[in-house]
Amino acid sequence: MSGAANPVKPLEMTGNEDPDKLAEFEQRIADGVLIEPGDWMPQAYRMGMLGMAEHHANSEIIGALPEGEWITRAPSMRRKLALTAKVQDEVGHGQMLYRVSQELGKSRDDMLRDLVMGKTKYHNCFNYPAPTWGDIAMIQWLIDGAAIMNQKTLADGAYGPYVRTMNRINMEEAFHFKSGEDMVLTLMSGTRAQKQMTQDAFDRWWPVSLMFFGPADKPDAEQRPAMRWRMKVERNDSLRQRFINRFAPAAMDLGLVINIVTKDEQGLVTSTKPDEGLVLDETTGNWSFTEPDWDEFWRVIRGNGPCNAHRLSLRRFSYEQGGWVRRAIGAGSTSMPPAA
Amino acid sequence: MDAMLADPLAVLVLAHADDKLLLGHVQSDWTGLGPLLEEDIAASAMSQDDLSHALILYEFLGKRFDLDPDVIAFERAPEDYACCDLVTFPDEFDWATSLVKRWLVAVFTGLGLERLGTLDDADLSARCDRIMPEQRLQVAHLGNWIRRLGSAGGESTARMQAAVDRVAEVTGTLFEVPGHRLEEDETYCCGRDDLFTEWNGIVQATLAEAGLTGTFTLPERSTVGGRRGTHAGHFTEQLTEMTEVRRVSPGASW
Amino acid sequence: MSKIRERQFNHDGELPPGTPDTQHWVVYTRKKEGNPFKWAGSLNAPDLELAIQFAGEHYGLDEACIAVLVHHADDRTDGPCGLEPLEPGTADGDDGSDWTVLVLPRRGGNLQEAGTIKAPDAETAIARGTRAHANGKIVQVCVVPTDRTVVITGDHDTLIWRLHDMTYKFARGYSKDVRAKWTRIRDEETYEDYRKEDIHSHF
Ligand SMILES: [Fe+2]
Ligand SMILES: [Fe+2]
Repeated sequence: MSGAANPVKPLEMTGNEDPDKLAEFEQRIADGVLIEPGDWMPQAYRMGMLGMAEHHANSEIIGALPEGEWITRAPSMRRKLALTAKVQDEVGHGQMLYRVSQELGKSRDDMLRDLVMGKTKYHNCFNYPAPTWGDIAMIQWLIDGAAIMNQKTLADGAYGPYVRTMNRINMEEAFHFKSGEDMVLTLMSGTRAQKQMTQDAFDRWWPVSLMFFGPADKPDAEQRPAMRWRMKVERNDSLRQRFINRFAPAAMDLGLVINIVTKDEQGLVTSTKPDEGLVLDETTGNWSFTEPDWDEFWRVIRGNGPCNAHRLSLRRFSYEQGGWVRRAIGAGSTSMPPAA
Repeated sequence: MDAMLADPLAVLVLAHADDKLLLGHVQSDWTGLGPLLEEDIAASAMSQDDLSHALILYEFLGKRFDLDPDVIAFERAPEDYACCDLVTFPDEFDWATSLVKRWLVAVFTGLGLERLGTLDDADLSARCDRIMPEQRLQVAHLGNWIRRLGSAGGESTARMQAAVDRVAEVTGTLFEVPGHRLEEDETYCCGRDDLFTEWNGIVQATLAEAGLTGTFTLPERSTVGGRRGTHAGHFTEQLTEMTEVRRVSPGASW
Repeated sequence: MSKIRERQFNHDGELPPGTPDTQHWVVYTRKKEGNPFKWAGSLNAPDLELAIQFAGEHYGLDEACIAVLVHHADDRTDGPCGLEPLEPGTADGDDGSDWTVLVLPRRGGNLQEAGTIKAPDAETAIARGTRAHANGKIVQVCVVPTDRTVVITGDHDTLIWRLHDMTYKFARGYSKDVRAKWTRIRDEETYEDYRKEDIHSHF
């Protein structure tokens, strides 16, 4: 699953960088050269990349929680195995991205502590509930699908260590998406109860998917450091449009109705009406759509979503529960490879 | 299904398969919550191995009795499951309990499958051969952790010892005889004393290296427990959870 | 859902004291016989024994592989990373001990094993490694003393890749299924377009 599409703190130049070095750095990036750890980089870039990789890592391990709830309920041996492996992959992505962040100067432990104490954020979409098996299908189809679109663009970024990690991760995200697609197809080819479960889950996750890419960027985004330095390479709105063009027709062909919904505080749907704004513009090939509720987005990102408190407290429980193991091995030996 | 449940060899296979299924089921729930990310990933790989091994054995039974392996895994009555009470013993998300329990079972399963592989059935032997290397990997990985955390001293040793004490009483359930008909059947039931002695030898050696102690006893042959379908209460909860989605639309494809 | 996961926790107060990060190890995997080791990722572990286990159970299972190489991150010395492909240079000599040479084909790419050379120290090893392997196709040379690397192979004692069916992990065999399910809903042509688009522009 992915993180970095949510707004990362705006980057500001500290103003005391060597102007020649900075100019050379910016020229390299403009020329499409990737940055490797031994290269000179502005402090703001280093901090920005750390923030981005850390946010992404946090999202991977928090993202493991909603789906983790369904491992013990998966309805067949193969689904049980696939879901366990999928959640495990997300933990693996977190581990790799924490390593990228550690190399930028922050310790793993500090990052985990900041996460559980709410000092750092993770992707907003994991603050929504997954009350049925249909939600698991939707998360793997829509959210992993959105994550791939986003992470493909992140793999076109400029920071070498993040790019190679993203390439490795994307290979696994493709498995997640495929298995999600298969689950959605299976459910929508199934019984009435299965179809209803899928439509209900779709109603919960479609608006979350639209918000997945974050709100529209500022008009001058290309001039701001995040895009100028190729930490991100595509505007949120443009990613969202690609997502809708890809998934709206697929959903409709599957027999799903694309609704505008209202939700209660638990994130459960209270009313639905079909999105009349969803129209294909034949000339551009783009689907128009009704904007999701951005007030809700900001409410959730500030900590008041349906599952924020629960996600963090379960992570905190895990952190505290495992403390004794980390203390025990930390006190152990640090023997190096034996001499041959 | 009835033919399978009445077959002595099938019941013996089921005992191992159900141990693997329920252990994998309970342990996979830890995915994403382990004490360090690297071990979280390794432990989840072991859960996947356990579930895969259960499937390999259900496939053997499925072929023999013309049953869908998923139906064997998910759709039996609670009293037709032959897993023992140790695998379903709730660890309450205590890593030490999870680890100790998993290790005690892994050593047992390794020895059990070795014996199962020598019975006169080529398909079953081939399946056991496929499982064994992965089983050895598990025993090594878990044994390493038992030694490491047991000998770390202080808090760690105390927690590990508490975990051994917590599960000691139910550990003997591993050795219960599954199926009433097996109780007197020397072909399948023989060597239970040897099995226990060998298992206890391995377990005691590792515990000693870890600075831990545990006493385990072999239950009577006639003991009626989880292996004969009389499960502790938490088994029913776990099974209910496991089959929750399937019961939404019985018979549907998932 | 399991009892713990649905439990309402009541945390208050500060977190217990933290722990420092354990050692940093780098992991490379070899996919098939004759292929070089390629960078897979890195991890934290307190010692080599656990580093090897973690490496196998994570990176060794991400893709089919037959061997895993692990070294301590501090044991690797990285040469300068060029903006242009490196020239071989003129360093020669064959005294000293064995160094494993790893090369970066391009910025943002993955380090891969190129071979072994002899050298008295890291700097010389990089110069000799560059001489031996810079062919206008690499931008960086890194070296690790060979006796500080550990290779585990997936034979029966140190199994890495599993013997059981692992297809569940890679959504393999789904393509046919998915096609069959889609074409019950969509015509072949629409499905083909959608699938091609998947491969080229999105995924
Ligand atoms: Fe994913
Ligand atoms: Fe991910």
